[in-house]
Amino acid sequence: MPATGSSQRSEEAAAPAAAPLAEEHAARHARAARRGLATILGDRGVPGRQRPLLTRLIAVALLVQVVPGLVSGPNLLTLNLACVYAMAAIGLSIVFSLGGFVSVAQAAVMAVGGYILILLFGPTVGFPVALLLAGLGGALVSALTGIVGARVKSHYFILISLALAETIQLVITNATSVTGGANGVGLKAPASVLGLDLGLPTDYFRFITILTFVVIYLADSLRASRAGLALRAQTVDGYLALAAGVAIGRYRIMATAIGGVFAGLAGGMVAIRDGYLGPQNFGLDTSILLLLMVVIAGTGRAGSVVVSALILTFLSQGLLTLTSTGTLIYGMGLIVLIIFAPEGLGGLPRLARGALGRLGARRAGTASDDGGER
Amino acid sequence: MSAGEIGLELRDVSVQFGGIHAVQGVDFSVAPSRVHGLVGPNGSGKTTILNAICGFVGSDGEIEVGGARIDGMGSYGRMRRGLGRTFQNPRPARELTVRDLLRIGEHDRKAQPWWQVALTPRAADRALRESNERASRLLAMVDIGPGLLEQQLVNLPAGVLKMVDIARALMGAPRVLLLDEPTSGMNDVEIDLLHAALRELSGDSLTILLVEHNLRFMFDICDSMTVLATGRVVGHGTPTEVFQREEVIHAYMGSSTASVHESRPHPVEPSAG
Amino acid sequence: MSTFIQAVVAGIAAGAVYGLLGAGFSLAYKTTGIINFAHGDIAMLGAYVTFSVFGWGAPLFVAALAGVVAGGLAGAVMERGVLRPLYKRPLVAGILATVGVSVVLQSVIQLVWGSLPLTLPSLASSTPWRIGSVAFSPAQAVLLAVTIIVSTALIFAVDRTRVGRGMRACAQDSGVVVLFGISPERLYLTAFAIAGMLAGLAGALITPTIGLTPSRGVSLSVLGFAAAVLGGLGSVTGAIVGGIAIAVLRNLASVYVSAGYADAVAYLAIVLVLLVRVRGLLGDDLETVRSV
Ligand SMILES: Nc1ncnc2c1ncn2[C@@H]1O[C@H](COP(=O)(O)OP(=O)(O)OP(=O)(O)O)[C@@H](O)[C@H]1O
Ligand SMILES: [Mg+2]
Repeated sequence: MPATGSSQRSEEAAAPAAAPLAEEHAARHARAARRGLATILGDRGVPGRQRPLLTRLIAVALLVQVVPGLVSGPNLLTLNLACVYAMAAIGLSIVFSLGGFVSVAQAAVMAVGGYILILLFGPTVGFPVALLLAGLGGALVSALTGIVGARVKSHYFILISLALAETIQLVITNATSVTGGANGVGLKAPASVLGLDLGLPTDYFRFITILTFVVIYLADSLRASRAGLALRAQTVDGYLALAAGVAIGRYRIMATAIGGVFAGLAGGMVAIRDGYLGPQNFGLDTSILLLLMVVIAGTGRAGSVVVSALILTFLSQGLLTLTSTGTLIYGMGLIVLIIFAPEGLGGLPRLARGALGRLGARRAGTASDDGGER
Repeated sequence: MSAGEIGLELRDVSVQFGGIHAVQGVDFSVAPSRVHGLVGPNGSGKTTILNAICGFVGSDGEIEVGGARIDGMGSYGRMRRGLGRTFQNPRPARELTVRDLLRIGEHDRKAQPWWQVALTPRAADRALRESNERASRLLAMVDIGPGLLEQQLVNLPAGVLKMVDIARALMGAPRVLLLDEPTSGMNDVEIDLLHAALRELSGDSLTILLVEHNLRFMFDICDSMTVLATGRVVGHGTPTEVFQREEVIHAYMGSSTASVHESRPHPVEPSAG
Repeated sequence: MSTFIQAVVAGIAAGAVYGLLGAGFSLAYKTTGIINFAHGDIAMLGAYVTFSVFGWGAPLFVAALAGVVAGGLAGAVMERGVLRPLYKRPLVAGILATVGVSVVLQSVIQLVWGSLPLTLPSLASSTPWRIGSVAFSPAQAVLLAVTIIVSTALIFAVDRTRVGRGMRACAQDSGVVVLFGISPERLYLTAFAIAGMLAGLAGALITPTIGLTPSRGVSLSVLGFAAAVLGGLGSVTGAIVGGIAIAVLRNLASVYVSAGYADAVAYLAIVLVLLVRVRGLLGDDLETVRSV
């Protein structure tokens, strides 16, 4: 086996029985090297521990200070939208990778949060309260899918979430006296919080960044907690979870509820960003886009979901609003990404290494067949 | 063994799959600090009995743990009553490390609300450190170093995976431990380590129900045994008694060696006793 | 009472087409386990091809056949080009890839035919016959007749032919069909080609009523999916029954509840059915029992 090829194999072939010290050291070094990038991505190799809060706070402070000076105009608006989507997608990744549900209702859950905020927020109900209620509403609706979904097989769950999504769309379009129907409804008052005027894209960015980091932090905490572990065990092997005394149903419903909170908050922030809401904001295509973000992120860790949310939001905003040629390119891009990046963005470096390895192997005259292996 | 002190008791337990009686009218009881063996040919219903005890399959009859009835409870409630079990073929979950698996095992011993990690990271870290220490101690019992904690489950050899699975079951600090063919996939050194570990554990007043095809191992470690064939009990007693019975000798000793778990034993013929 | 009967009768005719959509959906799912969100877009492609061929002067019947062929081709190309690398991957990968295909098909349709709505005449007259106060048009009769013929043929093919039995076996264990000398990949291709043809047919049949718009495909996919799930994923008969049940429910709901919420009532009914019968109305109990 040539040198280039063996690098990718080493992690597979590590002899575990006695775990020689050298191996352990190598692993630790690799992890330390990864941590540099991981700090930015919000991703730590070891699921056992949380990254210190301080690093996160510094990252937020930097972003909040620097980015509004660098990005402006429509790009900043898209960036804001990407943050909103990132929040909802992180929620969906909890529903998906911890709850084990493939849901196409996340945009509808956002809609619930959005409409709650836009209808409540006004002179009597302050912005923070309205936003919290939006999160709560999202949690309730999402938990509903969990309660039903915990009783049916996975394929059927997709339809159940679809049914919920379409029903919410119907309610929005038909309950014209409340929601304004297809015409939509406008924000009643300008929102401001923490001294930030959310009507300004720059201030909006500052606030949504803070909110996104809170969501990332909570999501990572959930994953790292014993509950998160129990949920992961449950998605992999239900009997293992049962043997550990995990009340599977309850935990799955909890996962959908938490995922719903994030979506509800995101929906509320859509309302603030646009100052207006209509049913078209929360269609099936948005749900699918969110699901794509989760799947393309690959690992289910909050940081990678943010990265894929950024990429996909800019892609979809850039391509989908142009022409049908743009849409065509977008669709093809999705297919290519799904086929050729089996582990999502997180798997890309490995994929590159695999390709290099194969190249080396071919030169040496031997065929190596992993890379796409699952 | 004083009367009234019972770790695990089954009374007239039956399991049906559709029309098939996988287990029929099984009774036995195990006292704390004792190791009870469950033997029988492939498909005789051993795993099914463990599943019935854990509530993974529906069953008729009475099941008691520590004197309290658990039949009628869900799996979750039964485990909380102090059951722990391992699997015949543990599925090495992708992306889970040994540490993850062991923490999962600890699940219901220590409730930790998920927000603890977010709001009081120090407390969470402390809990994690404790859990790591416990895990390392358990692994040390079978001579596995703490370095293994970071390994991915998929990379473990079969024997080590079984060992880790046992440690996982022990993390929940069970009162009754159900082991499903723990030695399959283990080499001789590992089997010896397991033997010593089980002895130590049962000394700690743990009740152990052991399903196993490796009769040499069973002979050495069990205090009592139940022999099953096609879902029915065909023999009870100490290993010496059981191994003197015609049917058992016929079923097992007739075939090559004491360690028969690789080859498929002949079915045990039902006896009148 | 007569409104009730009218709603049911119209529902049966419309539902027949949903049933065809669902049957194709179900067949592909049964064989490969993939939920095809491009199914409705393939139907739209079939409808648009029918439109064009009809526009070139071919008889409508021939044009519809061309639509069927186009649907079959699209299904086959999708299976070979997109889904084949994804069978070993988790469920979502395949599903999202079909979403990608849906986006591609939709934009291709838009590029070729434009996005303005078009219309297609139906195979038979839509001036209704009247039996008492209940109206039933020859067009509806044709829908129903075609569905009955096609689905009978399909059920026969799945039950009796070697390939059909292979598909059923494949649903349980794709490794096993190799032992019978059938290649699973060939089966997958066949399943998607047939599913595509069924979609193309459904498209050609339904667009006279709903009109041709590139974005229509999504709602057709949803309908086909719902029909298939309600009937029990994997069962052709179930899909037809499910399709009819959905259409009848929608019609009844729009008469007795409110037109705006007709779909919501249908969805609610589906969810309830799934809660009571976890495998849908006619789903088979083939889900493998997981060993501990
Ligand atoms: N979930 C199930 N559904 C249907 N039948 C089952 C199920 N689980 C077990 N059986 C049947 O019950 C019988 C007993 O199986 P069991 O797994 O308990 O045997 P065992 O004694 O553990 O065998 P082995 O030594 O091979 O592990 C077998 O005939 C098996 O096919
Ligand atoms: Mg067994």
